[in-house]
Amino acid sequence: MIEPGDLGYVVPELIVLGTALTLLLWAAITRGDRRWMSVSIALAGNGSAALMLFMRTPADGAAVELFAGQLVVDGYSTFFRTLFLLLASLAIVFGAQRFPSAPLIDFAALLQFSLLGMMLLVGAADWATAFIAIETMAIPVYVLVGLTRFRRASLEAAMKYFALGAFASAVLVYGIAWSYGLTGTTSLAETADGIASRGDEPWSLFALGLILVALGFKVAAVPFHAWTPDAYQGAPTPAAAFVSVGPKVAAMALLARVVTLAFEPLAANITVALAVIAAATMILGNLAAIAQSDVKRMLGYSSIAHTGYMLVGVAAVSQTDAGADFVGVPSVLFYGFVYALMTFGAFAVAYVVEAQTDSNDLSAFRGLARRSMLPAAAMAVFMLSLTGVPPLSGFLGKLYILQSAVDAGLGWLAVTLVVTSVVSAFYYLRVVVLMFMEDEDAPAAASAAADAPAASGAVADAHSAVVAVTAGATVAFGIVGGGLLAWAQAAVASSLL
Amino acid sequence: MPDNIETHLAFWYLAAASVAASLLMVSVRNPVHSAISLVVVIFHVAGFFAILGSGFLAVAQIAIYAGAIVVLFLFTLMMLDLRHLPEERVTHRQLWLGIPLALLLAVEAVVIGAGTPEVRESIKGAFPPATVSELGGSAEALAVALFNDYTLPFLGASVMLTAATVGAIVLARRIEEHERADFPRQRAQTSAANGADSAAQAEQAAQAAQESPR
Amino acid sequence: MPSWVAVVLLFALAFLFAVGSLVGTMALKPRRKYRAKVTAYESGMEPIGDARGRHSIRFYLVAVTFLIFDVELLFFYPWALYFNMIDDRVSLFGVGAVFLAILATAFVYEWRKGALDWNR
Repeated sequence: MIEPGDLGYVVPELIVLGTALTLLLWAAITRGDRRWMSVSIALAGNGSAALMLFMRTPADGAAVELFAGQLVVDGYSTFFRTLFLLLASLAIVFGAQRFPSAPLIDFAALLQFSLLGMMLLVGAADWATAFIAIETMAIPVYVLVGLTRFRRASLEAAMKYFALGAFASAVLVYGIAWSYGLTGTTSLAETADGIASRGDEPWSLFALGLILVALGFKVAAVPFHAWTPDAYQGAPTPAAAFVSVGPKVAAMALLARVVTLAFEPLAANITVALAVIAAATMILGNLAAIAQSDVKRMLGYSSIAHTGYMLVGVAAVSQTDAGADFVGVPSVLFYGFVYALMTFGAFAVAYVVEAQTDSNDLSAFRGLARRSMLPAAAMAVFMLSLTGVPPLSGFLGKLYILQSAVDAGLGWLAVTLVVTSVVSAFYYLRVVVLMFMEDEDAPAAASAAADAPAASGAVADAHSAVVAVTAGATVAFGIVGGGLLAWAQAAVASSLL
Repeated sequence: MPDNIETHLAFWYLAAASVAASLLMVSVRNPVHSAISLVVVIFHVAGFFAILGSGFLAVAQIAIYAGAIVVLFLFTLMMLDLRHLPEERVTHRQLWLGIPLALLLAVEAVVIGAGTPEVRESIKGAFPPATVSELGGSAEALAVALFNDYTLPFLGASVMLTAATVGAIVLARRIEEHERADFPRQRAQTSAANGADSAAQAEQAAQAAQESPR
Repeated sequence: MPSWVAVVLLFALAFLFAVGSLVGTMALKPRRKYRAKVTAYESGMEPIGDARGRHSIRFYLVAVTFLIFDVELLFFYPWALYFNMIDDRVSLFGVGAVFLAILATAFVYEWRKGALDWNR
């Protein structure tokens, strides 16, 4: 049962659970305008959770196993939990811009539940916890996508996302069942021993294959990516921003832990499988993004391409005498962090344009620099960083991934990454060029902007703050990225991996 | 599975009946009859669990699947207007997915069921039959596992169920007039969106901002 | 004899009773059909329309709620069993209470949001 001492290590999770339940009760009991209260509860909770996260991280940095080996608190989970707390806080401020009172408080509560699932997922040391956490993360997110349920596009997106997500969960459970049948344990660490003792059986590969397929759905890797553009396009923009970064990075964190911990004896096979998937994901994501005219759909394909880059890092394994060395994992942590911030920021600017022109079409970005300089400048930063232009953080992320791919002897994959990044410049830079072009339809856009009801000052300022924080971080981690990388390396070193 | 005549008889009855009911389920035209056949399948699968010594799983199967899930299916059918079902041309596109899946399950059945004794012996589990009967039964074994090793997922399940309840209410609750009023520019946008392109148009048309961020 | 044979017998008897009643009445009943006799309720209302129209989504919400609380109920069966297997009943009770408290929040939300009110 629960050891009281273990609870001290999960205070951040308990705080997030507390805010989620408080928001639910608040939504149920009170009436009237509760926007201020929703944002305050969520932000106060996430802030104090982040504080407790750093106070309660084990001083010696060693991994601590909790709850009979179900959960582990280590540098790896702390790295990701910090990112998720930040993302959820940005998302609730973003949501306050988009939603009126009643949907906003539901949005906030569901966001906190999803956040709790992600925080547990990156610390999961057992398949049982991993599965419960992945569902706790995913179920609220399906609802967030369909939150504007009077729009058919939103409901259609939620339905597609839910159907494929549920199918992926079923495949995951099937894979877990195989793994349990082969090894007699659900613990990730003990699974590795069981797999190793069975030698070269095809059934271990079968179990691994099912789990890779399921997690491939969750991170939107080709050929399991089909839901992504539809879900992002149909979702209300704050939900799309959160969905495109939070669950994807959390699933990537679980994937990295699973391949490095539970299926470590099969590292050679994992490298081959993931390298092929990564190459296909990078190529298809980037090529399909070129053809898009809707910015959220384009960001959907772009997020698929970035899944491919991160998978290169997971696939980068160098075989040493001591066994497999997963050299690419710290670069995946780094990339996940900076990818999340720049993609979130791009969605935040897309919303600025959406609010002005009522449109997500790329043509709505025409002349944005003239209408509103700061969002345009921030969007330029995000687009250049997503392309991988120095000195922005996206460049450093790709550089670290390339280095680990080369170290692992995956030269052809590194070349694919560089070539597809050059292709991606086409559609990212198109947005930049459009924004700084002369505005030919200036009167139309201006009148649309005039139609929109004026925002209350605090909310609009808060949204500018979201854009500023993500843009600032994207620039800062490009210049002083070494610090973040050092943290990622320490996180991986102090983990159960 | 105990090796005695009653168990073998039960097994062959369950096998024949569940296969027959499954075939019936996918071949009848009326979806309600299909759902009823599904109940029959579920009951017989519960029978397999029972003769394999997992009484709790058998009860769970009946309570959750035959009870709640099939009710959910029937209520979903009730929301569709079955009198005006479009006359679909019978296509077999699902075979592309169905045949590989069926082959996969067949291979699994052959490996586990008819495989060599070594293969069957090598399938591991934390609760071999001896341990289960020592503890007093499958439900007791589950209780021991749940409240010693898996307490965190047990509590996590309540969080997950809470999130699912809230999600269902948020999505399926009636749309109140004031909710529409909160999004003034969307009131007119109820045009149908079919396919990606028109969905994109509806999206653009319906993407109404409540405030402009200036 | 395996313990489940009694359950099988129960099912067999129930099945035989149901089929036997139908077959028995079929064989023994006098065949006198007239209009009132073939309606659904001999002495009730005339049926209006048929049962295959579209029903409200509220039924679905009720079914989802039922499913979720059904799963919860299933979790409590091993919990109750475990009380007789251990000495440290206080912490077991605590775990169950936390489980229920979290789900109670969902119930309060559902109730106050009017998801259970049929007439809203």
